Amino acid sequence: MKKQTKQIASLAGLALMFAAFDALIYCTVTRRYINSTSPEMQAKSIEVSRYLPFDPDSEIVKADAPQKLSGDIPVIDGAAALLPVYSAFVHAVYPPESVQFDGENYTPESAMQYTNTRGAYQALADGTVDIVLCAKPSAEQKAYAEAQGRALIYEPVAREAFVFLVNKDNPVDSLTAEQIRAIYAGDIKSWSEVGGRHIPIDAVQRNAGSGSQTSMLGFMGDTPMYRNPLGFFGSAIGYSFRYYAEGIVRNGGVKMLAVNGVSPDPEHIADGSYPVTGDVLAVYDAHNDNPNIPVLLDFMRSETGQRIIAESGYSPLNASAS
Amino acid sequence: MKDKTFDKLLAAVLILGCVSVIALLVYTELLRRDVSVISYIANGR
Repeated sequence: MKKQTKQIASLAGLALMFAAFDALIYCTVTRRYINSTSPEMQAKSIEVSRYLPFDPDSEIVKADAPQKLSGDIPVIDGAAALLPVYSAFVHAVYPPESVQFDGENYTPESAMQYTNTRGAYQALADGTVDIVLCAKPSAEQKAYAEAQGRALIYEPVAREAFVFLVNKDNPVDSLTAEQIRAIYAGDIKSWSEVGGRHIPIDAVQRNAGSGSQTSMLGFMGDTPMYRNPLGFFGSAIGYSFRYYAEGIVRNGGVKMLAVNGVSPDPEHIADGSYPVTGDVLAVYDAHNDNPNIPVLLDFMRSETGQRIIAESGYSPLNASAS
Repeated sequence: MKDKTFDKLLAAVLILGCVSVIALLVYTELLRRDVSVISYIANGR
């Protein structure tokens, strides 16, 4: 009897040990990798079906231009963060029959496409789209376009803040630009060095070629970026564009940091006091003689176009439009 | 409980335990590939 009790206790103890080990892995590692967004957003960075240009339930800003484009309709593409904006432009100036969506993707014949920053710059270089709305391209994307014989023209159509994100429970609310550079250079490794807790900083990065990664490389200048391998056990910092984080993903588990004491609010972007802003660019090939490209650009910078930008949650070129 | 039975049960618990750890690690790796930066930050501390 005594032996049997010992045997059962051994088996139960072993099973409990495995259960505890699994729980430890789940709580410390697995849980951090669970996406809070839908499968569609995980696959495409945005729920495309929420921002269809001609769907009555679409969440885009609906404004109409005095005249729709006709003739050779330029194919437009762009970044995930800018899909609500360029979909609103398409709603305003494109004929509805020029856009086809099959329920998951825009069809190859559609004058509106969505392939995100990397796909959009590739398609522009390959000549399958006429104009893209994105942040600045990476050096590789520029070189690829040049190798394809493209001479890209960059026309600013809006302003947007580049923001730094931390967990909402992180006590740090503001960093200087120099502190952020030092964190991403690996010179500052603990949150305690910038007024936070005594835990490592996990300076996470984005995929190469994404708009936010290219912007971050521009922010860092010549300083190489470093990620502390022990940072995983600490608290993370990341970056994105303001509206993507605040208006599209809407994850209440993160907060945006003030930079140099200035929060990335629309008014601070518009008045230039938030220090890390960039242009939203309409990019096209100088050799493209589609007569509707200048018409579309004029509309983007018109009063109605800038109102679309402001009402979509971005900062217009002229702050008075907001 | 006979020693033979105990050995079989012990082996079964060991195998099941190892399988659960491996399955959890594979699941974690699959999640890691697709996690967004924003979710990753929000899930942390």
